[in-house]
Formats: sequence, structure tokens, C-alpha cells
Amino acid sequence: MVYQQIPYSSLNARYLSSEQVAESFVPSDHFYQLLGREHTFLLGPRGSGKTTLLKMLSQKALAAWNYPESSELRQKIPFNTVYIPIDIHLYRQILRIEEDLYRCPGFAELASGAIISTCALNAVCDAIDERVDCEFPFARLPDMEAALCEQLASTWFLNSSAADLSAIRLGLRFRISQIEMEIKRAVYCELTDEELSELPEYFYLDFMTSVSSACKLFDTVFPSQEPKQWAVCVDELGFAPEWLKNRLIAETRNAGQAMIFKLAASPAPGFSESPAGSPKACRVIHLWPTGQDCAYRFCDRLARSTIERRLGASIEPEKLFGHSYLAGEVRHNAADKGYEPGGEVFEAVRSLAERDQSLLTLLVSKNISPENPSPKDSGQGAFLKKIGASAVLRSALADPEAGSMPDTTNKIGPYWGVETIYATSEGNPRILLSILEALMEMVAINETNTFQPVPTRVQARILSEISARMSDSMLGTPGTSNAEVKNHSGLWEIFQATAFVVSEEIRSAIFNADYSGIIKLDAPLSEKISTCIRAGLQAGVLIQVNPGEKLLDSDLSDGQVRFSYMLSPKWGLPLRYTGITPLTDLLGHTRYISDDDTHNSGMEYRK
Amino acid sequence: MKLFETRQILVEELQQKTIDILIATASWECRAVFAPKLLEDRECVHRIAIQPASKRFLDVNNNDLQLHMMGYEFRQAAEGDREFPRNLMDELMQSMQGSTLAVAIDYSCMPMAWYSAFVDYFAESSLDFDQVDVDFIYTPGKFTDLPESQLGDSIGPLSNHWHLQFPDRATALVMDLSCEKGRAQGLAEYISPMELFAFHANGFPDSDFLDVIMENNKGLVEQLRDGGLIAYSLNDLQKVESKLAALCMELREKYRVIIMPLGPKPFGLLSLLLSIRLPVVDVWQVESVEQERPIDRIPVGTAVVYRASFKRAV
Repeated sequence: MVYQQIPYSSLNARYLSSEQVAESFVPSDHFYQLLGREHTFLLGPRGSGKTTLLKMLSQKALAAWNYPESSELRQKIPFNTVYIPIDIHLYRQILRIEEDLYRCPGFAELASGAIISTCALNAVCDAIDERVDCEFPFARLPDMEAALCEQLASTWFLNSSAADLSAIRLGLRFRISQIEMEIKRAVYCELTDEELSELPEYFYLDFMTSVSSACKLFDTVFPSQEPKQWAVCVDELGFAPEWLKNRLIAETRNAGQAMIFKLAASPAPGFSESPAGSPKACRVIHLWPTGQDCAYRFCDRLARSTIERRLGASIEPEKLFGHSYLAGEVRHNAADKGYEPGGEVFEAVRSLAERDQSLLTLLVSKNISPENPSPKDSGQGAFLKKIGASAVLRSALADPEAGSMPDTTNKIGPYWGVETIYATSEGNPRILLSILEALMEMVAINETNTFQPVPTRVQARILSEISARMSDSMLGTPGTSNAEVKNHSGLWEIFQATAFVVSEEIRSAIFNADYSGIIKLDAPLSEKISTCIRAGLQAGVLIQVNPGEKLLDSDLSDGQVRFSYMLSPKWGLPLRYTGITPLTDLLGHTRYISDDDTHNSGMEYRK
Repeated sequence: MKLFETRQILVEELQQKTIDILIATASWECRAVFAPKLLEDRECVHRIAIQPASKRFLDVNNNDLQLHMMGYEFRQAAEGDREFPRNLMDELMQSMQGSTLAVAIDYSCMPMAWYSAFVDYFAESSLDFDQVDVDFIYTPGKFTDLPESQLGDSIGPLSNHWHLQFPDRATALVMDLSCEKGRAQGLAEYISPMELFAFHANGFPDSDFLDVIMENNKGLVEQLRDGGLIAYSLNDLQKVESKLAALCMELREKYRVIIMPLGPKPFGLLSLLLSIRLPVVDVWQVESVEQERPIDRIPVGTAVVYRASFKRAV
């Protein structure tokens, strides 16, 4: 039987080995920031590359990475890593267990600790395996391994006859089954804490002590010529039990300690504790674009690498997809061509000015000819650059002559070109790869064996389909609905209201280059709305704007968010927001953009 | 007791059988009294109708009165209460004698918490019978494409239907698709499985159902390759169980397996029964919050009966 991987998951580094992750790894600036000795919080939505970055810190991944700097980095990196994966599957199981063990809360706490500790010890075995393979290929002597395993078995309360790591692993596997049996027995027999007083010793193992003692043991048995610290890398900390989050955050306050912590979580993770200490002792990296340039550079590197891998040829992305001004400035030598006669901005401004009296007036006030709107000086150039993206969008989607009626002749929309592709991906590698993979399927070769550009209509269709998928999935993302409230202002309703406000601005009789898609979380947020916002941020449907100091705070109030540009192709929305709308205005909104399947018109409303 | 056999039986077979305990749901839905009426003539030691405690909706169909006239004894339970079914069965068992026991449960209008608790009761208890046959009865409702519910916040494994494994093993997700737009897609992305399979009921109770399923799950279906989308018929639940079992047996070798029934209840029942036989499979429940004006399900076709037979564990 051949199984299919769904695109997003096939691009999920969680289930790939270090070598597989290294195979297609394209470093971002964030990667270099992560190499420091300080504790680090790595925050990013689903698919933003948290797992990839953590996995790339291992010696084995760096060794497998075919990149000019890789061997130098291997030497320089000041730590060895233990990668501890936590995921939704385990998280939801632990929540269920805690709920079912309500008769014995003390045991519930011990059980949660035992599960996490056992998973962590299994991760330590992986780390040991990797290091021995990588650094001591000739030293995997049975005696050394046996000596290490004997001590590990004793420290971890495993069968003392364990002579190698595979026996230790088996012991841990058996242990996790034993923990499950103890829990199910306690639930079925309705046991209380008093009746569960005699538990196996391993229920009392301390998570951090067990991990750090194992690391020390390894360093003793396998001494390295250049000793390094150990870094504990915990993936998806947001899905860890509360006690573990608090414990790890407390550990990050402890500057100068033996272990380094690299902790990954979703944006605005809502930790009840906050890491203290100086910024030098604890760094926060957020994996979403706050400046367009940073995301552009990374997206471009990833696109080039993907094209080369898929087509077996080094081709510039713009050769296949072209340039588009919808997302703002193009970043290429050919940038100004868009403003020349025949260019995208030139044509959009010219044709729009024929129909749009407000734009015509605006152009005349700047001494720009509506019939030939190419810049004659730097002032005009700056002005046209400011209005370029809006002109392209308005020209494609709105029809000012027809008042508020949609321009139904254009169903595809202007969503194509490298800038648009990068902007809609939000710098999220998983989204960008899924777009690129779909586009690569459409690359044709002509009779002279030259790769042909992907037609703009095809690009727009593909972006629209991926956009529709994100839009639909918002309805099924846990935590985003608000069904208990009568007018249920969940994430979907907030999106519809925002899209309505922005669409009205696009279609307005007065030309407007600023769209109010940034949402100010102005009111004291109810728990339910906070949950919606956090779920949206985690899924990457919402993007935190200028997160600043509020990165780890539990309170989102007064922050700013916007919906992902990935939703724009489906709903005919811009790829740049500069204006702000208060959330309270949106919650009170009674008019929504339509949820029909008319792609890209973005112009039909439920009234 | 040990689950040793499952099979689909005809309603006629059930109508000719002695039933010791008959359990229905005193829901407001029209279909809630369909199966009780089919079995009205059977002699039973106990006829119990469980009323959802929240009583959110008026009994527009006079079901309570009809069930009362049929001799049902009423009990109340919260929709999420898994202990109630167990306590109820413990109580009823005190008056039951003999070497075999026949129980019929109409789960058409039951929340999953209840019917999963009934399944677990028979699988886990040490009852003093050689054999217990539990007939699970489902009455399909007439299809309407109105949204049935909104997604709630709670999602996760059902009590007792989870299995701990290290998270370095990838997850495989097996879903049964529902009509709610984007629900399966959003949940699949939330869980981020390595493998995804989607079952869907094929043209049952009517063909519109299939069209809506395909339209509202378009994004997810497009992401599946050959073999990832599996159609089934509610008329042959045994075949569905075999398909599901074969798939899960294969997947468990490499993955942590989650079954997430979002569609018609019989798939949920089959998932629970499979999870008992194959205790490495998780069955997850997704909380739904009903619309302010939920749909009154009108019975259509005939009832589907699936028998789970339990034997005394050796």
C-alpha cells in the first residue's frame, strides 16, 4: 500500500532524521542567532521552522549539512544538544489523564512527571547515540557503552542488566507501558491518593536531574578533547504540562548554569511565568517577518534551493514567476521597469486613472500625467512607489465607475510573481514550500529544453487554492470558535469583519493606499477572545505585529495583530496593511464579507 | 469481559430476540423514538430512557410522552458524564440472572461520552455471565446541509481509548469526514500527522450527503493521493470495521495512530470497538457546540444494528 503524505506534513521536520533535515536546510538569520550560549526562546507559528532550527543544532545534522560553513560551525557551536520533542498528541493525552485522575490529583501530578521524564530519557538516548556515532566512531567499544549503560540504568531505576543503549531504550519503552497501566488501573478502580501511596521509584524521578546526570555521565565515560556544555532543546513547549513550562522558564532565569535551554513555542505562548534576567542571558527569537526584507531574503534563498532541487537547474525564481508590485517594491535591478510604459504599475495607474476620478485628481496634484504616469523625478518616483501596490490591486479588483459593484470581469486577481509568493508565505518555510511545490508542477519545458515561466493565471489559481485551504481550515482549528457566546465572535467572524472593512477601503470612491487590516487588541480581552487570538497565532492565520516586549506575556491586550497575507488571494485583499482598526469595532460589526466561493472578487457582501 | 465477535444484524433479527435491557435516549429529535417503536412489542426486564440533563430544547416531538407510554423508565445524565452509564449498568445488573444477557442500546441520539462508556463497561467489567450480546442500534436521520454544530474547544482522546508512546514516533490520523466546512482540514493541520486517511459514508442516507461531504472537505481531499480517501456504506458495517482494522494494523507498525470520527455515529462505534481489540489505537473526540436552532433529525430508511458479543474473560 502506498500512503500519501499531506503536503504540510510532508514538510514537517518533526518526523525527519537529522540527516534528512540537513539535506534541504537553508539557513536563516535566526539560525545564527540560535548558536549562542545564552538561553533562547524560539517563537513561531506552525510551519515556521522551529523544529528544523532545533534539529539543526545537533552535531549529526551539522555533519550531514552540505554547506560551506558547516564544518566551521560544528567546531564553533558551544554546546551539544538533547532534543526533546513534545507534541499535540502527547499533550492531549496528558490533559485527558489529568482529567480522568481527578480522584487522585497527587498521583496525576506524579504520572505527568513520569511520562515527561521517560520521554526525556528516551531523547537522551537519541542524543547519546548521535554523539557516539558522530564523534566517537571508533570508540563505540562494548566496555565503554556497557559502563555508561550500567550507570544510566542504575540512575534511572531500570533493570541493571542493561548492557547497551538498545536495552535501555527497551526498558524505557516498557516503562511507558507500565505508567499507562498504573494510570488506567487508578481510573478504573477509582483509586485515591491514599490508595496509591506505594508507587514504583521511577514515578519520583526528577526530569531535569535525570537528564543532566545522564549528560554528565556521558561526558565522564566518553571524555571529549574539547568539552562543551549541553543544551536542552524542547520543541513545542506550549504543549507541555504547566509544571514543565514553569520549571523550564525558571531554569532560564538561572544564568551561568551548566545547562543551556533552547525552547520553542508558538507566538504569544501565554506562559504564566516570565523569564527574568538580562536580555544577554535570555534571547527571544521570533520566526515571523517584522520587516519585509528579512523574510524576502530568506524566502529567496529557499526558493532558489527548492527550484534547483526540483528542476535540477539553477534558475532565478523571477525567471519562472516574474515580478509583481502587489506586495510593494520589487527587490531586483529590474525594479523600475514596472514604472515604465508597459510595466505593471504604469499600466495599472494609467488604466485606473481613466475610470477613477480620485486617482486622477491625485496624479494631477503631483504633476504626474495620467496618460503617461512614469516618474519624472525622485518625488514622483516615491509617490508612485507608495501608491503602486494599491493601484495594482484596485485596478484588478475594484471598478470605481460602477460604484460599489464588483468588477466581475476579473476573477483571477493580481496574485502572482515572486514578491507576492514570498509575501503570502509570510516567510513561513512550510507554506512557501507548499506553494513552490505546487508551482513546480506547472513548469513546462519548451523544444529547446528551456524552462518556461509559469503563466500568471496559473500562479494566481494555485495561490488562490492554497489561500482557500487556509481560509477553510480556520473553521476547523480548535480554539478559534466562540460558540458559547450568542453572536459568537470567533476568529472567523473577526476575519470576516476585517475583510469587509478592508474591502470597503479598496472599493471606496476615494483612492486609498492605506488599508486598515491591522487589528489593535484595544479592549480588555475576555479569556475566550484571547484563546481565539492565540489559536490563530499558533496556526499562523494571525500574525503578531511589532511584538516588542509582549512576546512571552500572558496578556495580549494593547498588542496588534493582522490576518495572514496567505488569506488575501482567496478574499481579494491587499498584501500590505498600514492602517489600524480596533478590535472593539470589529466585534461590533454586523456586516461581513461573503463566504461564497467566488474566488478573488472579494466584492460580494452579505448584507 | 472479552470482546470476541462483532457483526451486523438485521432489525428483524433483533425484533425476534429476547432483550433483557433496552436503553434509549429521551432526546427531542424525531428519530429518538424510531427504534423504541420497532421494539415496542418485545418484552424487556428493563426499559430505560436517558434524558440529557441540560434539556436545552423543547420536546417538540412529544418523545417523552411516547417513551413513557411504551413503558420506559426515565433517568437523567449530563451529556459528558461517562460515569452515569457505568453506574446505571451496575444497578441494572443486580436484577439480572442467567448465563447470557441481551442488551440493546439505541445510540442514535446519544453523546459519544455515553455510548463509549457503555462499550467500556462491557469490555472492562467482570460480569457473571458466559456471554453478553450488546446490540447497538442506529437510526439514520434525513440529511440536510444546514450546519449542524460549531467546533468546540475540547479535543482529545476518549477516556480509556489512548495509548502512550514516545513522541519521536510520528502520528497517523484516520478521520471520518463530516459535513462541516473546513472542520477536518483544520483538525488535520492542528494535529499535523505524517499520514492522513479519510473515510466517508457513501451516499447514505441520501446522495446529497456525498456531494456536501466532498464540497466541504475539498481542500483536504485534494491533498490525499490514491488510497487516502476511503468510501464506506453504513449498510455493511462489518466491511467498514475490516477496512479500518486492516489500515490501523498496518499503520501501528510505524506510527502512533489516532482515529477521529467526525461523521455518522456508527463509525465512532466501530472505532471504539476496534480500539478495544487493538489497544494501541487512540480514539479522539471533538467537542461540538450545537447551533441555537439544531436540526431535528427525521428518521430515514431503517435502523442499522451492530452486535458486539462479549464472553467471560478466562
